[in-house]
Amino acid sequence: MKSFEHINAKSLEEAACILEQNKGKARPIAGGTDLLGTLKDKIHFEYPELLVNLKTVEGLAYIKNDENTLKIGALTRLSDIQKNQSIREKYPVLAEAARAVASPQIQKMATIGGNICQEPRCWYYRNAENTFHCTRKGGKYCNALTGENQFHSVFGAVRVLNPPCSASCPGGIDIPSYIHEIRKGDLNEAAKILLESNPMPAITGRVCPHYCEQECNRWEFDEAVSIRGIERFMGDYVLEHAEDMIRPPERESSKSVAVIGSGPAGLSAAYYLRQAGHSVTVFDRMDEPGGMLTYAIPSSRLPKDIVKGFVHSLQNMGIVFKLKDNVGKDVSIENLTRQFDSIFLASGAWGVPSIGLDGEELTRSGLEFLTNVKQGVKEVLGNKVVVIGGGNVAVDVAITAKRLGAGDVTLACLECREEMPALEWEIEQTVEEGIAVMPSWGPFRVLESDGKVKGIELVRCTSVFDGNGCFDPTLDMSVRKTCEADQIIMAVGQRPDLSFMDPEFALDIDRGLIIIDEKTQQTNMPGIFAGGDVTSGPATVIESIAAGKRAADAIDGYLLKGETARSDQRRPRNTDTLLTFNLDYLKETRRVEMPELPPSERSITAEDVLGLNKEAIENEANRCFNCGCVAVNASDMAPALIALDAKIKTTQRELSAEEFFSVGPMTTTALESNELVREIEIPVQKPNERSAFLKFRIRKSIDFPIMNVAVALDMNTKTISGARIVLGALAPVPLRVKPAENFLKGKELNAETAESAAELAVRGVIALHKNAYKIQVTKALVKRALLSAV
Amino acid sequence: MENSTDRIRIKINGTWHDFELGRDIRPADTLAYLLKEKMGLTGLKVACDQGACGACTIIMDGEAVLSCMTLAVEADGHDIVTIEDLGEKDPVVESFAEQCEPGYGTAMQCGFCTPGFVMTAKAFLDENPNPTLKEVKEALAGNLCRCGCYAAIAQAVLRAAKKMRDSE
Repeated sequence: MKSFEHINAKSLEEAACILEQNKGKARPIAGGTDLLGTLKDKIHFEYPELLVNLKTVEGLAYIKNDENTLKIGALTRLSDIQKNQSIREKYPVLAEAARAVASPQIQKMATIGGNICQEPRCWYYRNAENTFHCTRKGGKYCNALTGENQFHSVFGAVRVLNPPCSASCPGGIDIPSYIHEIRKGDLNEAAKILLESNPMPAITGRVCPHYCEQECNRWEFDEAVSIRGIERFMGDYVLEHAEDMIRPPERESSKSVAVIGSGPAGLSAAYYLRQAGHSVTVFDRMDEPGGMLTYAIPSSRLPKDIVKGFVHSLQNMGIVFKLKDNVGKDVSIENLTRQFDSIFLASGAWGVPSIGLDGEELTRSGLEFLTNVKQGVKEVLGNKVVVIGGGNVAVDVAITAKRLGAGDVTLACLECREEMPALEWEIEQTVEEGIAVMPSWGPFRVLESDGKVKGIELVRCTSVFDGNGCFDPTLDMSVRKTCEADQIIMAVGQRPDLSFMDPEFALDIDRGLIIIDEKTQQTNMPGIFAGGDVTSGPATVIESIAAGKRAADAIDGYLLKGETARSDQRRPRNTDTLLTFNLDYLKETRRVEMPELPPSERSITAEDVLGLNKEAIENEANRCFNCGCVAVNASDMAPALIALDAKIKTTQRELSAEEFFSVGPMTTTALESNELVREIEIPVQKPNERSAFLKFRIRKSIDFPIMNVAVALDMNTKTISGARIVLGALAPVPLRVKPAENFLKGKELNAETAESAAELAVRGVIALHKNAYKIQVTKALVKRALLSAV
Repeated sequence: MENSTDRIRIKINGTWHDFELGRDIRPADTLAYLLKEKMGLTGLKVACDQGACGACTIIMDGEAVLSCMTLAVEADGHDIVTIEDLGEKDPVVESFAEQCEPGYGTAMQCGFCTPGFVMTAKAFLDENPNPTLKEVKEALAGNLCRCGCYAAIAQAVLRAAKKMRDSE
């Protein structure tokens, strides 16, 4: 074993204190039979620096019987529980469970406290050297889901941390949960979950780069789920049912907020603020709301109607739009601070910087070009157009120019092909549409004759970024190239235009960006918040949406002085329920791609990409793994303690056994990292209570259960007045099977009723491809355990 | 924070031994390592090193435990008996050696697992001097024999029990 320090604790309090002081670096050791195995194999990414020995704590190994309870100290060894006469007589389920643990030697070493805290039992989880950094350890993927899952859960998985799709989404959308609702056929519920973090899925479904898909675990198997396809369908569904889905608030707060800028950040903040009951007024200098959504993104990617539809639903919520209202000119921002209780600045990044190019005055701005096209201004393009820039605006400009009938369109940028900020598919599309892409060329000077553009001289760019990743292009002046052109369009970056603010308006600004607190979006001035491109520089729509939501939450807290602040409007989802999925997900399937128009039919008005239909998105929903962990809790004592309705007393609190066993990263309990089990308290058995424990394992030595079952029956002469049936090693947590328990109430126990109860115990199982045998074993043992209890 | 003990004392086969932490042993050393590598008590075997095979079984405070799953520092103050302390005339050792019976065979072939079985059996018989075959089998469930001498081992343990009862 790798080295660690070792300290003998004298009390649990001392041990807890040491664990707290060495958070993440110290582990408690009792019997050590589970812990030392994990340390020898180095199953974890991190190795403890310190072990805190609990065996030196005196007075924690006891079995005490009084009138009402049986009390077992946490350090009581399993062999002592097994041999204790009173436990054997009154609580056979407990004695048998202790007897079933591992081997006689281990029973003499292992403590009951340690047994109920053992780590999950899964060979991927426990593989030496952390070969599989699985989802239970904070990784991304559950290898057992698609791999060797003979010993794993037959009752579904359990979410440990955010799955990789949600974790990689800037908006943190709970993707698996809404997809799960689609699988269940509840589109309304799915839409509600989606709207909790993204009010405009119809828009993001069309324009978001969908980082979530890049992280989708389905790549390990075949291809990512088409989250964009599902999102777009759901987005259109939301707009179709906007009257039901995007509703005015039920209560008004009597507070008012001004939102400056109606791009994604502004609209997102407006939505969430209005939802919280505040009166919201959105200011925008343009004729139509939507900001970049309306004016910069070509209709072929995002039709104006989609943005209009969303804005319309916001108006129906009661949000007021003041358009053609140029804050700074028509109304001063100081004025707004007096009129409104809070302000959210989301004015975007509309400034087009000059790059100091010789002859730059003869070029035009790409952003202005796109805006003109979207406003319907008739653009006359030359025969040879050169677009400078490598981002998605440059790509949009080049494609739009080409589709408007420009002859030759060339896209030149400093970055090499791999470094181009535009997405790979965007670059491919440019090439597909006949645009010449020239990476690694920097503009040097505009060639002119009589004030007319004749071309542009380019120089070789050898690198764009310095060693620290900062923009610092290196040019090789000896390699030059001239491109003929009659029009040059610059799309080389945008930045916030803060000219609308009076210089005396004392907002902290750094390098052209408004400085904010990243959690709350609050500026240095109380009540004034900012977000979106104006604080971050050009970013994605979903990043702006997320900023808008963060700001809305913080503004809400600010306005209500934290009284009833809706810090997070996510409705609680039942995290106790095990995750289910459709077994079809395990078949290798192709991702359904959204149909695209062929290049010859594409235009600047119609959408290039068409959405998926309901059937297709249902297929995609069925491909979602609903990622979780399918490792089981293999404690033998756990089901027995739940069957006996035990209480677990820790250094901090008292929990029912059912609450105690839960799921977290690297843990099977609800314990905090510095919390220790002190005592187990079991209510005294009624005279007519009968219990039994059975375990199925492959061999006797050390073996963990393939499954185990603990039953406790309250007998009323012949009939059963109450039953507790708990299954172990079949699910991520020990599982009470309530349908079977309810069935037995009032019934006589015989082979027939026991068999029916056993059938009910396995109702709703989801066998993985290698563990279906567990179902038969479970049925047989539940029946046997019931019959052997009486 | 300092280690609560810099020295530990372990009674090994009747004699107390002192060990200095850091010099003689590390906190991460197992008891099996200390006994085998530092004390030269090579009777116990480390096979699986995961507590599954029982080959490292020793007797601590009268009970059979796994020395590979015990930290040496945690044996501080305890009384340990290894196979080396059992003489040739020990009834359990003798029974294992003598075992040769039609239908059961010998209690060892390669002998690798034998010290573990003997120590488990020894502690078990001290606790239960008159076991049934079923009880013997359950008591030995934590020891593995790859030569497959289980039936004969059980017989040897029953024979040892009889020897011990007869000698009293």
